[in-house]
Amino acid sequence: MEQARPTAALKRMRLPEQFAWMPFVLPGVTVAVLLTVYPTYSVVSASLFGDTAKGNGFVGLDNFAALFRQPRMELYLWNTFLWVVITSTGALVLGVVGAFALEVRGIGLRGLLRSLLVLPWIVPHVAAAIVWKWFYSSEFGMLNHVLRSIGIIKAPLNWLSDPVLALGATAVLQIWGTFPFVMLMVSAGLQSIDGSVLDAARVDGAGWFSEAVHIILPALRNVMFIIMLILVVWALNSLIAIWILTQGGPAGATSTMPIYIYSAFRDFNLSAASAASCLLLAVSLVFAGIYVLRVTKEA
Amino acid sequence: MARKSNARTLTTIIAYVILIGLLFFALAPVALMIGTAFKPNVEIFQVPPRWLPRAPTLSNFHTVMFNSGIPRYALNSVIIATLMTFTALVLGTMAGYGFSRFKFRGHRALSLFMLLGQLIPLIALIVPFFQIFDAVGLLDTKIGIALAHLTTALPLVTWMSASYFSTIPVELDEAAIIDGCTRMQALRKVVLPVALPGIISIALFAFLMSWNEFVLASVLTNTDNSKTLPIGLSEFATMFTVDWGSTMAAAFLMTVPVVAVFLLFQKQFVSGLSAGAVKG
Amino acid sequence: MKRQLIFAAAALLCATSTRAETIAWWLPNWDEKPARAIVADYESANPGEKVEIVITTWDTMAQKILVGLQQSHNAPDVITELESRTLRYVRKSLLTDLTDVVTKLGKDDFVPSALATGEYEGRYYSVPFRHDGAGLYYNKDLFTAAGLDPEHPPQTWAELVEYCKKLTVTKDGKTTQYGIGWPLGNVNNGVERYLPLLFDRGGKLFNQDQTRFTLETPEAIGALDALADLFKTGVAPTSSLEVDNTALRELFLNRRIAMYYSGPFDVQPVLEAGIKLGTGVLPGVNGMGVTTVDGFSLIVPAHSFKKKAAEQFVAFVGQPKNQARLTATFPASFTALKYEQFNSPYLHPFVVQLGRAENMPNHPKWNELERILFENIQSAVLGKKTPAQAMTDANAQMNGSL
Repeated sequence: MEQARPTAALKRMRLPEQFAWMPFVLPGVTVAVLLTVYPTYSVVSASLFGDTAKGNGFVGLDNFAALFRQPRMELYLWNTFLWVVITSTGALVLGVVGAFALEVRGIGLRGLLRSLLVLPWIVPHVAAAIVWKWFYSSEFGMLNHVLRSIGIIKAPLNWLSDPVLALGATAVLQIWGTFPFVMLMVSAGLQSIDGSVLDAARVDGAGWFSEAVHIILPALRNVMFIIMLILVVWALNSLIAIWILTQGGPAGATSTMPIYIYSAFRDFNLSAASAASCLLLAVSLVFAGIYVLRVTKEA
Repeated sequence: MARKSNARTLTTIIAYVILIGLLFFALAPVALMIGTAFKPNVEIFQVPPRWLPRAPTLSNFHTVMFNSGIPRYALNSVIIATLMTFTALVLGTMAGYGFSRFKFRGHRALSLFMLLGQLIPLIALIVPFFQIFDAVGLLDTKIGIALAHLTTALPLVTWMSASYFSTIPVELDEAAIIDGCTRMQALRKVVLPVALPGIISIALFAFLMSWNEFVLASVLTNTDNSKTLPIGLSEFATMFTVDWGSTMAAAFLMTVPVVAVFLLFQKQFVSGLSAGAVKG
Repeated sequence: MKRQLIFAAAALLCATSTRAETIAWWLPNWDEKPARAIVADYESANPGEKVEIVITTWDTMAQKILVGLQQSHNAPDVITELESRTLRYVRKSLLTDLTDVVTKLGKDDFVPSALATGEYEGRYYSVPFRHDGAGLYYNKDLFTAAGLDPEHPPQTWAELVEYCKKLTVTKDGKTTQYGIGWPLGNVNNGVERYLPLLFDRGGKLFNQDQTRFTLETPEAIGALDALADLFKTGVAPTSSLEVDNTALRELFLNRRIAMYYSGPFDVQPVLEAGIKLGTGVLPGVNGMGVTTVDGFSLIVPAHSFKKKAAEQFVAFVGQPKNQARLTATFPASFTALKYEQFNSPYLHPFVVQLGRAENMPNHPKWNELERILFENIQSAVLGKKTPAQAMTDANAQMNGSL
């Protein structure tokens, strides 16, 4: 069928049916509202009240004050920031590189490769964390064993018990577990790029690198933003990785806000957990703000 | 011409190197996991460490399948994850479609709201979820866990769907509508099939999120009624001993079905989109 | 017809109202096997009574139990919980008074420190069934190889340090064997193994009414100093900072460390791994050291609807013979402690050590405070702070959190 451009007719269709959007959007949004608004309100108000034992009165910002009196709160916040940045960037880079590598013409067995590379994401976090803990163990670990046999290091490194190395080492686990998702998303995005655009670029003699940077990446912009968003969400939610590897140690080197909240909750220190949760929510809002600014700049 | 094919070969080689490197990175821990699943407990902490068992055994699998709560937890996990994914897909893709195709008052506000919804770290919500579920009687129920997981999944699915839909030209919908479809039919018959690879990865994403989720599940469950697989994994650790072999065997069993599903849908992925639909 | 229906309905109602009492027992997964056996015995001895078992895990039990106790409509009926957490619940009025059960079982048969964990204002709120402390584990083969007498474990701390030096083997700059290891990779385990050093030197965690921490004392600093010294002199591996009790045992089984502290539950696994095991009391500054003791007891929530049935069941489990079955280490009953199973030569030092024991702290905020102490201990061991600095900081921070 000839692709006419019946703009007038369609403009009539697209516009007001003013309410045409509702049956699509409202059900999902309503459920989302129910699930998020009340709990969020609840946690914010809980952070403003005191411990049940002390009489449940309104204590205003006392809980937050107490939070910052915690000797290490700045460290926790800083660690959280580092954690988010390192893990998101690492996963993004690895995932994009992997996706591009898979699309290169000469590569065979794409399906198999993809399925194998996806495994880290599929494997249950608890088990993966345990295995990485073994890897990193300075006594039993494969990593030290392999590195020493190759001759890269002489003495075993304390990946998890050295405050300097611990955060990075733990971040590697998170990157390992999240890069396949990035790869998948970018792959799907690459495949939905109109082939004709790519062909045109190749005919023009553009090298693969400039092709990648100038044509493909911009076309993937949407997908990339989503991916970064999700990576940040995952980073802010990731608990198991750190908890199993180091329990937040050594000496607080890998303690992030989620870890703090989880320990407070386990100790049933609900006021501290609530206050810290609000703080974490505020941090997420900062990331949300950045994202929104980026996106609206596009529009 | 020669230069071009040299460049191409170089590119291919580089790509292979990268992929092999990534494969090692990705698979080394998995290999250790599988190796451990087949090791008898004595071998697990040997120094120097070994990848493969000297005396492979199926005893860990036996423990997992007949001497643990894993089978029951597997059932729970399947029900919860499927229920949650299905709901998120239905509600989320519809909403995503709505956001991507329509302009309406409140579009900006609502989509911002969905954005914020995803960014709420679930950790921050364990306290209220716990208290609310307790009050409403949703503690220790499968529906409760599914709802809790839906909290992050739904906004995410909505955003991701909206994003995918926006890469699909509106002309597709318009063509369908001209042919006599309603909006809903246009979505179902025309847009969704084209967006299928994206939708599938979104579905897999949501399913996995629920399948592997540990923290909320551990807080909101108590008994076999609702305990999920990740909790089952952690139960091989008692106060004094950890049955590592069984933990890994259970992890192996947890991973295999998901990999199978993924392999099944590989074809959808690889075959690409019917991008030709618009070109007519 | 109608009359028959009414009769049938009435009969049905009667039948259901005389249905058995089912009580719910929350217990941790390592107790599951003996617990099921005990429940089976109970049910056959008391037809009509049923016990439903709900499994908890070490990792999450504290928080789940606290929540369970506070539920007004769904509380369990019997719970197995750590002794040192009992008083927290009592102070919040969450537990049923079990003094009658204790009296029935014979108050004097219980190990006093065990009963004390559930005692409040003269009444007892828990029935302990398991109570143990730590002892010294050592590898006799490694002793012999180092020229030490395998039948003579170190009796004092000074001896311990000396033995450690002999037991640390370094070859080509790499240490393949260390004298001793510590579980400094886990908050609870780490602190639990520091406290004996503190108590042995006469130090105290807090003042009389638990309102202030008293860690800025020479005793506390001395204890930490002694611990950090082991690492400084290289007789303890820095990988201790990665391990908890279980992983520490693995180090011992792999002959990476020659000695370590642990509870009686490690004897079985160590013997099964083929190590020539020796056990002894903890070496203190002037002879036998102090051990921290803890254990598990049965509690009944104040919100349970089936208190009578629950108490009856608790009384059954609390009998010496059942304590002996349920406990993974030692029972809390003197009668049961005399059973043969607890008196092997390996276990004997643990029993002796109970003679110098102190309960683990039961302060309501202990969990959070413990973490502060732990991080400072880690800092001192890592050499990032001096022990004096670490203790000063810990004391200040812990008091600040009170």
